[in-house]
Amino acid sequence: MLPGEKRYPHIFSPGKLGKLEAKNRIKYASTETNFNYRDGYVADKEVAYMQAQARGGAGIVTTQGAYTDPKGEGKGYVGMMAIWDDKFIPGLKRIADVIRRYDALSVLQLMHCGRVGGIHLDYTVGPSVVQQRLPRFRPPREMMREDIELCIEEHIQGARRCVEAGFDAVEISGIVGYLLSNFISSYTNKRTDEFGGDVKGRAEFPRRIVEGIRKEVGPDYPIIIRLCGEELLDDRGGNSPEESLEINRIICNAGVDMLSVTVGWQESAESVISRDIPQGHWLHVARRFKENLKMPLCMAYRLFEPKYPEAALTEGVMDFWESCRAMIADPMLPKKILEGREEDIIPCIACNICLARLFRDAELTCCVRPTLGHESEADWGFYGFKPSPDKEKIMIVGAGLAGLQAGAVAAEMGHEVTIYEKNNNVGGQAATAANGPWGDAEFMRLVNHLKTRCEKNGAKIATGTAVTPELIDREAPDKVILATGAGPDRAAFPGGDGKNVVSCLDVLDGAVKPGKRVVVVGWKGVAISTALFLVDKGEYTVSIVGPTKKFGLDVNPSYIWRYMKKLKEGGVRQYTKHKIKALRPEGVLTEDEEGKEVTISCDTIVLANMAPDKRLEYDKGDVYTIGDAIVTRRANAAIHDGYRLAMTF
Amino acid sequence: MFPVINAFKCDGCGACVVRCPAQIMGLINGKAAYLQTMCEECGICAEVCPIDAINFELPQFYGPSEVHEAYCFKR
Repeated sequence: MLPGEKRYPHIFSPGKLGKLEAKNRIKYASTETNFNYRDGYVADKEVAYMQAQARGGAGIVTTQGAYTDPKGEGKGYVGMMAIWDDKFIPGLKRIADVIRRYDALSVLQLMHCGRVGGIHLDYTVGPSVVQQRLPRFRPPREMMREDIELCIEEHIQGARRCVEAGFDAVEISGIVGYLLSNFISSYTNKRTDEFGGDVKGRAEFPRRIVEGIRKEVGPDYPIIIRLCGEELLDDRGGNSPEESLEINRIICNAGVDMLSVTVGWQESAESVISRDIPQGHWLHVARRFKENLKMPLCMAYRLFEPKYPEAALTEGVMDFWESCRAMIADPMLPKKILEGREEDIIPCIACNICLARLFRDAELTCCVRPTLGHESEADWGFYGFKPSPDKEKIMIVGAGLAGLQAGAVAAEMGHEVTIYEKNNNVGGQAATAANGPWGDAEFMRLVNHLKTRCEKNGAKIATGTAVTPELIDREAPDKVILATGAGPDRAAFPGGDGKNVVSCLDVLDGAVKPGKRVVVVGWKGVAISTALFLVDKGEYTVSIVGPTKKFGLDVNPSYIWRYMKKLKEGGVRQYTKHKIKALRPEGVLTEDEEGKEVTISCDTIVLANMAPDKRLEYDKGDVYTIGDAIVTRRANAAIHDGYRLAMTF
Repeated sequence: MFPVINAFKCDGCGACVVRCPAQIMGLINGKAAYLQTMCEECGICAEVCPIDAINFELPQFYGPSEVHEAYCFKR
């Protein structure tokens, strides 16, 4: 018996999907990747990605959603795969085959993006004309009855092709604002015909799809459906939780084998999957559905660590643990849990850069796993690096994210790595940021993971050691990597060395306690984090000041609105477009848009204008600079820099 | 997927230079250029380019009917 089976007996017990049996209760949930060709054909990159997911050891592996109509109305992502013609079957078959090869059940998802679809068109389709809240999307058109009938038929044909391609089951997506959910929700469905109106009418379209597919695929072929358990659209007249339950009951009774229950829409004005939601928070939705519908159920949504789904599976709240972002971050998650190597799992920090990239028509990217999309390229070392032929002595200055990542990879290749850190703890800015409120402590999972990986691979970490050029000369390494990170730039403004001017890093670390009235100088994410940290303490009057039109332009769009909301709630005054002239004992002297001088008075000025730390200068031999030490950016850049450099050694 | 700058079209307005979140874009001989190893592949440069001089698009595959049969998968 493997350690994981002992520790998580329910996760690693076989699960039933219709008449089929999955080897464990982990289901890789459907994720768009934008890896495929623009015309809907499956690309090698996608196959390699799905292979990684299957090799990772999940019991069920779901493909990304495939759109079912030739016009592309259902296509919501540029690299979404298509299933509207038989010509796509060979490509899809490659995915089914690769999943089966690793003993997992393969599931294909059919997805019509509805009101958020039509990516190459100038319109989208939906049950009624209800304008989108998010400006990115195109205006909706109402579907005529013939369109609806055609759409149902296209879904049925999609399911037929799914069977032909050799998948074990079919999944239908009706979540977060895609077509099925548009019909279900009272917010977007204003129809008066048989596809609208009351609960029964709004359930009619998805019910007809399920009914049709069941007729096409026969009684034994498993059908999974993803539906919204709670829409969180109360401010826009969405379904109540009771209506959602009733509609799901009607749809599931039409012949569904398993329900995947989700929470929230893209348009919901509440946090659903970000860090401020604690893990396991949404399990109450699954519990309600399980109690009422008494059918096989699975759920994703903020279940990153196995203890949460294990508890839910033990209690019988759900039957499968769906995992999406956690398995983007590390497809090998099931295998690592099974082998009792949980500390080796690359932890998702819910930064949502994956979503941000998809919405920008870019390929899926992961902050914590630079190998995403490069699974088939041996150079990237997703399945492990080949030992390097010549062992070199590598000295890394700074144990922040960039330094740790570079150290972990270089050590894995067999180099002799020592990471020097002037502080007594590793993690650099990430460890400091982990002191922030609303779940930011999760950054420490990442820091601890990288530290463990360095240690396991044999990299030495020397904390409390400041590096001088003399030390480098003495050690005489083959390669020096400067990963010294960034800090507030005191020299940027006159008066930066004043007594009332403190560093944001010291404030976040708790080394300095600012006075009651605080002005944060900075315009990027770091300044916002510092302000939120102070707001959370509840004893400060906080302002932010900076010359830009908006603050936090570097912050992921799916977080910035949340941060802005919290800044507003915390009563933080934002002085945008204020050029900073000087830092004075009585406050910050600025010049506003019209050229008027304004003094923002305060007790303490917190500097959050990060700039590369270039105090250590060294240019003898093979020297590299990575992370914030070149240009100050976000965590993903530091990790990718470290990885992309070290993999070339 | 890395952005491809069409230097023949780029007029050097610098919109991408300002908006690049990694701050790795600049102008060489009045044309946009970037540091590829530090590129985060986010596509913001292509999105903000007012004259579409930056290509950030997935390739097409073209259907089996449109390409020579030697290039098609076997069913």
